[in-house]
Amino acid sequence: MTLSVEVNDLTVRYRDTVAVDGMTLKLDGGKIYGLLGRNGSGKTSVLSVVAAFRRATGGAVLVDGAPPFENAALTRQICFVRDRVDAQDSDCVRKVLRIARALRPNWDEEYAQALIERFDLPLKKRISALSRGAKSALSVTIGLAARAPLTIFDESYLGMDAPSRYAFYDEVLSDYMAHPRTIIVSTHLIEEVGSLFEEVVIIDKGRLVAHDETEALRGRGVAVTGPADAVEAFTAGRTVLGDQRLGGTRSTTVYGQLTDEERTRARAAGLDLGPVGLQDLFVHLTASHGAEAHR
Amino acid sequence: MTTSTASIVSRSQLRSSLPMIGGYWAIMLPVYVTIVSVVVAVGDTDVSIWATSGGSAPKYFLLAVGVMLTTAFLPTYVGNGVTRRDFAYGASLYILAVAGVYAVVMTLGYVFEYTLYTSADLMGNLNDPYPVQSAGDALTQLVAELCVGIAYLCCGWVMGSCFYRFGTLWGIVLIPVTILPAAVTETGFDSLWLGYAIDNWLGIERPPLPVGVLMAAVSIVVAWFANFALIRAVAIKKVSG
Repeated sequence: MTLSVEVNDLTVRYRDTVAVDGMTLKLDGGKIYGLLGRNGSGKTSVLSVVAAFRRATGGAVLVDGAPPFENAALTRQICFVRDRVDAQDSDCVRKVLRIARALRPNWDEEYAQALIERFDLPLKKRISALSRGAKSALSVTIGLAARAPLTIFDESYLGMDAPSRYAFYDEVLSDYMAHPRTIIVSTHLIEEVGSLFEEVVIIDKGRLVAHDETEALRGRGVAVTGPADAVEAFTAGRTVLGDQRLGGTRSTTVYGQLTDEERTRARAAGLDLGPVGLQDLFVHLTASHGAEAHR
Repeated sequence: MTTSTASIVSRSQLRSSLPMIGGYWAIMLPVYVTIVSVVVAVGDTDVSIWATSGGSAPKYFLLAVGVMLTTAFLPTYVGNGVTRRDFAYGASLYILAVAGVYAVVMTLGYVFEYTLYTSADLMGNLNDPYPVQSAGDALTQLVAELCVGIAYLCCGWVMGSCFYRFGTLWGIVLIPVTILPAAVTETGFDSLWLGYAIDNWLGIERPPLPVGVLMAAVSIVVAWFANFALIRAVAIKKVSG
């Protein structure tokens, strides 16, 4: 079972601050989505409304065609995993898992045990005694073992060290393949996790900046690599997203697609062309001037 | 309503809070048994120790238990897919159970103290008539304690919800309002100390039991709905560090 998400003209305000500003977005069920945005861009606010953690100030959110807020049939099918565990500091890990097991209809205890072992979670320790990485590991263990048809990881794994994060990415992918569902991953670590996403949503200042399949998004720009002089000549006058040099070799990422004639000319000049990195594109689209230019 | 979810919430709450509630009574009971035993041994008192001090502290404990419901537990349950409505139902069942334990312990405390006072021939020295002198009195006391227990838990719940929803400053400002249902309930049963003081101040005797129960029922219903209004759309904050 997978759940679709429809966000229609969503607005979320906190007193005078507009966190989400008339956002419209449709996510089909059964895919892994990357939700990218700078700090304060409104990612958590959107996800909180989708997960029924808060009410929208304006507009509407539909999950599987119905409003999720106080909808018991839906809320049990949505697992919103935040960067902190939704439990008391005085609770021990075992208790937190016990409550999740009791309340999550699709909970897979065998898988939970495997994750506990993989992330080396200390069952008897209190939440307050856990390292930041262990708290994140506990959060993602709940998110994965809950097997909720709509699972949302809101920067929940950022506290984990690199090996644990890669273990998490492996688990997300393999468990998604075995048990397809809708997964939304909100993150800053774009390059690290980018290959996981089937579609990417980029938001900035509470507004939708881009929503496309990952490959299509990466095709919005080109990484031009080759002799420094040739690269400089070819990219002159274009919008540069990123630039790297190593000896006489230069790699410049430019925004915008190339025509067939331009591609032929580049290859003739000894240049390699590749897709743009998600992170470069993200930085460009969410830079203060970029967000306005490409909306 | 998803009855099973509410039931899971209440059972989970009871299991989680059993060490806290059990620990409280495990400390309180030996302390008061010791105090009452010393009083009986000394052979001189004009009050019921259980009524004057033993019966008050647990009410404030219940208040604290109520305060934690929204502030500590609501995010946990909503985070596990429970609606605020089902949490309210589940927490209400939990309140009934905790108040029931409180009422039974309190009533048995009176029975125990009455037995000791009678055996030590202390009843004649008391300023006020002893509240539990027969099975009928015990049943009346059980009903009164149950109502008072529920009222205190509900008041604590409302108090905690005010802090959660409006923040610390307004939470503090609203404390006198949130405690009103408990005050009205205590007045209906002439309970120590708040109800006893109000009844004395108003110059009235303890109202008949049905009147007390009615006052308590109205207070509890008002508190419950006020609390539900506070939490039914509240945004969920992060709890752990």
